Amino acid sequence: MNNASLRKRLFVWIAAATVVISAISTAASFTLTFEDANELQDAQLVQLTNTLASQSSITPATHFQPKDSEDAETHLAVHVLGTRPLEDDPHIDLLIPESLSSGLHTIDQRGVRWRVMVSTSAGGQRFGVAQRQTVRDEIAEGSALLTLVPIVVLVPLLLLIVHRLLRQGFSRTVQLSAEVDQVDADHLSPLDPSGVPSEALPLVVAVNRLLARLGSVLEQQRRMVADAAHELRTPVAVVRVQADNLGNADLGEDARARLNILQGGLGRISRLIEKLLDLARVQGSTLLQDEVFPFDAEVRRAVEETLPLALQRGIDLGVSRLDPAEASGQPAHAFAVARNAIDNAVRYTPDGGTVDVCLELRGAQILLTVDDSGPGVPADKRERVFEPFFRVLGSQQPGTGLGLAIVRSAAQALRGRVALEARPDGREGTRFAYSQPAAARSAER
Amino acid sequence: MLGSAVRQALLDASYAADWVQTGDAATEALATHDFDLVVLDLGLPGRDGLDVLRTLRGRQVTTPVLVITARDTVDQRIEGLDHGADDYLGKPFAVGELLARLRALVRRRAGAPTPTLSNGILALELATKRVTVDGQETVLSSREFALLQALMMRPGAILSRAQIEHAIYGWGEEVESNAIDVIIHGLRKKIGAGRIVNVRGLGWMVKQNGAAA
Repeated sequence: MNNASLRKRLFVWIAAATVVISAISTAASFTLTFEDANELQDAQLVQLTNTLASQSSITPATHFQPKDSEDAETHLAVHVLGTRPLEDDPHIDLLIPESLSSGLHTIDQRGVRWRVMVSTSAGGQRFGVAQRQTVRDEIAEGSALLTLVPIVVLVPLLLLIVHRLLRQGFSRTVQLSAEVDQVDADHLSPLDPSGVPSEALPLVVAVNRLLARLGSVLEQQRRMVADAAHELRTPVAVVRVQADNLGNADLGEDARARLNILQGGLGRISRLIEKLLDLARVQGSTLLQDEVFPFDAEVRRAVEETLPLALQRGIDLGVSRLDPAEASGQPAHAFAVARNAIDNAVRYTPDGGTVDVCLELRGAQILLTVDDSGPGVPADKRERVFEPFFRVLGSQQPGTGLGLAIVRSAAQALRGRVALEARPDGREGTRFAYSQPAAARSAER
Repeated sequence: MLGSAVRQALLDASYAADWVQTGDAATEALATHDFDLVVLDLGLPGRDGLDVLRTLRGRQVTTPVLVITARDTVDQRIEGLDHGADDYLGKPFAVGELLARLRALVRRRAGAPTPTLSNGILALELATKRVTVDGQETVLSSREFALLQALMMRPGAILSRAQIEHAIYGWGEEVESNAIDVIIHGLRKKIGAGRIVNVRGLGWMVKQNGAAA
């Protein structure tokens, strides 16, 4: 799969095109300016010659003696045809042949190239004004190079602007993918199309339609579970009542023992139905309005409700700390988290064991931990026990396999995190840890 | 099916029970006979159970009604109670619980001579301050009675030390740091150590159903 960044690709292509085009335009502009400069110099040469021609007599090399001057304009020499200049100056060391016709010429003499304008003076004297070609070229090059300055300065600036614009244009797309990443099964909120460029808008709309379809499928699944559990209630109630009625009949000891097993099984089925309904309820209630509520009150209630089971099993269920802590969300979800976590801890702890509940407000985080003295959960199973109906092999406990699945769903609804860990004090057992942000009001206290 | 099973359970418990299977038959039976109790399954064929309940209450019939339903979310529970149900039982249920609730409804209708707090084992008559444990009368001091009364207001609920102090001492009264422990120690001697449960870190409670444990 080739997932090269569109932004990077666009930038590379725009930069390459800019560089190539500006290189061509630089070359063209250099050549044209160079030629223009040569033509201008020719015109100057012609003008100067015409001026000299109006004189009756020409004095060779008397004008524009260049000696020390670096000014290119002065590198001109006036020669009477067929004569050498008087001074021995390499700059004007030139013999213009008499055969040369009037007009502009380029002549090579002893390795030096000259540009010469030949004319006849008013006194009938034939003369030429000469300039070294290298000097002319230097001047032309100088002015041609000057025309390149704006291009050389502006191209990097242009590339910088393009880079900026591209990054800005794609930043909303990057932000959108972050938003898509945050969508989870419990909060299928559609993406916000504001600020999205019109080219990307169809994709956003399509993703939102997909989210809506996904939502309705999930909703159907939830309703299916809830409906199935509801439909099971009446027939199970019938069987339960009839089994209880059987207990009132005149039964032998053997039959009564078997009936007890039957009733135990029916009790477990009833509990399973209740848990299925709890799960459907927790998953389906995300549309309700959030409220700020005391988290500690829900933990207290969860301890109260689990206490009968703990007492029956001789388990020391206690609270080591209970900070007042306010959370935002639905109280029923907080109760579901605490109730099922504590219930689970009590169920998987052998008779006579200990279960410690701790609710701590640490900064802006609410931390709920439940430590048990049970056999512990192997590290590689600690994630999977949150899946519905997953149970650690070998555990004989009559759980429904739904308690921790309910916890996870409720935690997601509260935007909290759950995990099973080894006990931090190194003792045998499991720590259940739940954390979620405290409501702003609580964090201020 | 459920109806016949419930009827059998009621007969076993020595109630005289009539069973009708449709909403109309129920309305008619209630119009022509005088019953002490009605057990109403909301999932009736033909006519909605809540509709039967409405008709009944519309005729000023005050017979206690226990509603049995597969719909038991809090909202639906409240709706049922608003329509005049006296109690609510979600399916599936144990016969023991059904009978216990029916007994409570009968008692309530008969009108207790004095208001009584009870969890099945402990019973506090509020007017006379009589306390019985498993039917045996016990004499408590006024502080002990006040403390037990606070716990018995809602069996199963845990009260913290501060809540108990607030319940049995007036404002500004000096409370010794171990006063509550002393009272509870005395109480446990009289009514049995297991009747008041200490919950580590939270406080004390009396069991919701004293007979069960």
